[in-house]
Amino acid sequence: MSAKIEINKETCKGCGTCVKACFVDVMRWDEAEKKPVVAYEQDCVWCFTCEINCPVQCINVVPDMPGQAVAPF
Amino acid sequence: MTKKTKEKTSLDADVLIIGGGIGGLAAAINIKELSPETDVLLVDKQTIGWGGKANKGAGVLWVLAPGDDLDAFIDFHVRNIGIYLNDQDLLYAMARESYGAVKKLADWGVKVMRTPSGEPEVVHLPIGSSLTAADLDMMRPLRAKAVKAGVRTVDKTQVVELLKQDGRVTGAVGFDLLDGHFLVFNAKATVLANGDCDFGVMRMWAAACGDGIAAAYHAGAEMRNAEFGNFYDVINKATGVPCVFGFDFLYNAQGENISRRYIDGPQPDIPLSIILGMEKEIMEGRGPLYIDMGEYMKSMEGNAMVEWDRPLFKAHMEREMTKAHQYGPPPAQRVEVSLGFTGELSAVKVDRDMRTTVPGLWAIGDTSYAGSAWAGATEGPPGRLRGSGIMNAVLAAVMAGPSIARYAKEAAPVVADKGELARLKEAMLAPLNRKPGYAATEAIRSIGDAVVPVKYSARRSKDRLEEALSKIAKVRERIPELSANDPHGLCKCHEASFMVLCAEMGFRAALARTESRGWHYREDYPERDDENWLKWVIVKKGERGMAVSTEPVPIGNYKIKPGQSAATPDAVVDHGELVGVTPEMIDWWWVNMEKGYPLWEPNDHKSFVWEVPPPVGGYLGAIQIAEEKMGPMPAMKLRIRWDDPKECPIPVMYEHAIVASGIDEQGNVRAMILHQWEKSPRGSRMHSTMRFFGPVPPALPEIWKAHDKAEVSTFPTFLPDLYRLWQVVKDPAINRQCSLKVKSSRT
Repeated sequence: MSAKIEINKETCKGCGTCVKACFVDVMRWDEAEKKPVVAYEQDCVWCFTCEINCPVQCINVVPDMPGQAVAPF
Repeated sequence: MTKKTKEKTSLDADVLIIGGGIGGLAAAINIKELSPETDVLLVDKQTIGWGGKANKGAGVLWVLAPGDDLDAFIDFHVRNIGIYLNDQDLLYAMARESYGAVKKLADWGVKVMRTPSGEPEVVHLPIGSSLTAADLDMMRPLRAKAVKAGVRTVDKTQVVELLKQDGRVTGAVGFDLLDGHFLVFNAKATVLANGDCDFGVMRMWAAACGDGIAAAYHAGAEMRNAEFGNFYDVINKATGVPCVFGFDFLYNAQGENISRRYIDGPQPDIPLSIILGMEKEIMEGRGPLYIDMGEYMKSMEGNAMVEWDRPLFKAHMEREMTKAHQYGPPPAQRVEVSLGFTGELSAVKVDRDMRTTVPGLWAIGDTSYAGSAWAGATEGPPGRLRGSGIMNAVLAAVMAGPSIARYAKEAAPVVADKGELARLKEAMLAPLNRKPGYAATEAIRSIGDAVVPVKYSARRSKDRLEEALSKIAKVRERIPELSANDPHGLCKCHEASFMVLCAEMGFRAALARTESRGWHYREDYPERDDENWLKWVIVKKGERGMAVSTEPVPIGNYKIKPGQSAATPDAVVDHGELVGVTPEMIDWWWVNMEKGYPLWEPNDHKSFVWEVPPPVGGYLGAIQIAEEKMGPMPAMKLRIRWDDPKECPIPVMYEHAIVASGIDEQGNVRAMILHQWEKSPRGSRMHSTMRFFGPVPPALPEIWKAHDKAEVSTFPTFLPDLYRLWQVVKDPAINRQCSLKVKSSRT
């Protein structure tokens, strides 16, 4: 379970919504740049909440399918 | 001592609420409404208003609304879902308070679906309760409301342990997820609202790591119903997205419908039997397994969950679909499915005020869904009751409010012991100071290896549970070796230790329950044992490891007891006179139904095929697969056999009759309909009776009656024309002929 997260820093307005939206602490805030930073990409569960709630739609989450790590059978 | 962290900071409050999901927010607002002067501090590991689980699912809310039948719902729940392990008084209270709680959510700013007159808009379910919904941004207005009410909030802080003095909980300790500094929270009353344990397996439930359960356990609190923390749902294998209510449309690699093989009749939600059945199909070489997306999507047509106007929910659904198309396998009619283990271990034992067994400590929401026992022998959430996760959290918050507010007023202030704090700080931050060794991700993966397989968590036996416990013991032994580079990694280390504790608790409770009941199945004890097991399994911290005991369910005090007859009375419909329809036309219809099945009930009838066609000149033994919708229930494929009215226990009065038996894969009769008709002055008169075998949802008789009326009332509009048109076809193998006259004329 992980993903590639692409942020278009050109169009990003630095509102910080994606950092708040992330419930698994993947996104962090870069104080110097005033922009989000993908800090723990390996923990992304591709819930797409950051992508959907971005007001300028500058995030693209590329899921690493399939999403199942341990087989039940 | 620590080398990467700042000095400790201390925060004091009357009430500390740990977890800012829907339960924590509802509790904070509720306490402030009851007692504005009470100082409430709300702490969350991520960002309050965005974290938690309520906004990660479908946003549905279970509710007992006006028009629902409270007694029928309780009776159905206790007999079919809770299987007598419910705290029936709490179940009543939850159900009774649910409508008020939905209105409270709306008052607090959550956009709950509403009718034009402003009342919650609900869909009534056949089990006697209803569903409504909110959009997935439901937490943000709650955060705003809490802050406005004066609740103080702390984000990005992981609480790891509770503080205790003189036998009472006096707050908690944790650390800042951004810079790792140690934090002390001194509080008179402490509320755990930080969720259940889902073992880091399913994507959307990754936040539920058992933090609160582990904290309560270490503080000496009792756990209850930990054996019911073993939930699986059917998932799309590529995306991991649950196919909620998809359990009726499953096929094996040979194209056989396995839902009919393993599921007995209509179910309120996914039954354990299909989990065991799916494993059996795979083990016997009939995998992979598929869901028929056409059938599944058709069953969701008109479903309020999809139809309600919820822009954010729709955006999530659409985004999931787009991503699946972009990065997953190509779309297909049959999509490979698997089982998604979520666990949902929610075992903190609480009373009806959500007080744990340790003074000063409350547990609400998913932390204590099973531990409160209102839902009985089921995992929770969803507890075989969709929408009950969010509602349990809100209801528990509302029920806990008065006792928390009172306790916080009366309890003496607390000051933490400095020596104790130093010890806790060192232990908590220790992984940061270890050389790279055991990685938390490796530990979590090994826990998954023990909890995810069906053979350990669903098809249980003494040997296999012990095997799973030995796998867990290996992880537990290495917890002191866990290392981390930064606070994010430190958080993972603690999550691994919470999960290993929850896994052990679940397996030990399952080992103790030597019977099968609800969502707990023991291959070595396959029967339900009411004589010995109307008991709750209790787990708590013992002198050496976990202590397991039992506590009797006070069944004598409850209204619904096992052994009482729950026979559903026959459902009877008198169709009156069917003008222009002769008895011969009706005889013809039962053996030629494929010629006009959609005309019979144009809204509810979906497809029809003879599994065994009627024999030439006869009807007995014919089996049809009729796919139809009945009222609010999803479309179902019914397997119906024509049987002999002479062998029917329901009396035959009219001249013509047929018995339609609803049968399962093995041919067992689950329900039986006797249709009877005879000549009348202007056509025919007709009468139908349905008899049920075994428990059925309480609303089913009325739903069937409405459906049967709708069917038979269309006879005059299509049957005479259809019958006449077919008279030109003389081949009796195509245009079948059969007399269903069973009695001589009464006139």
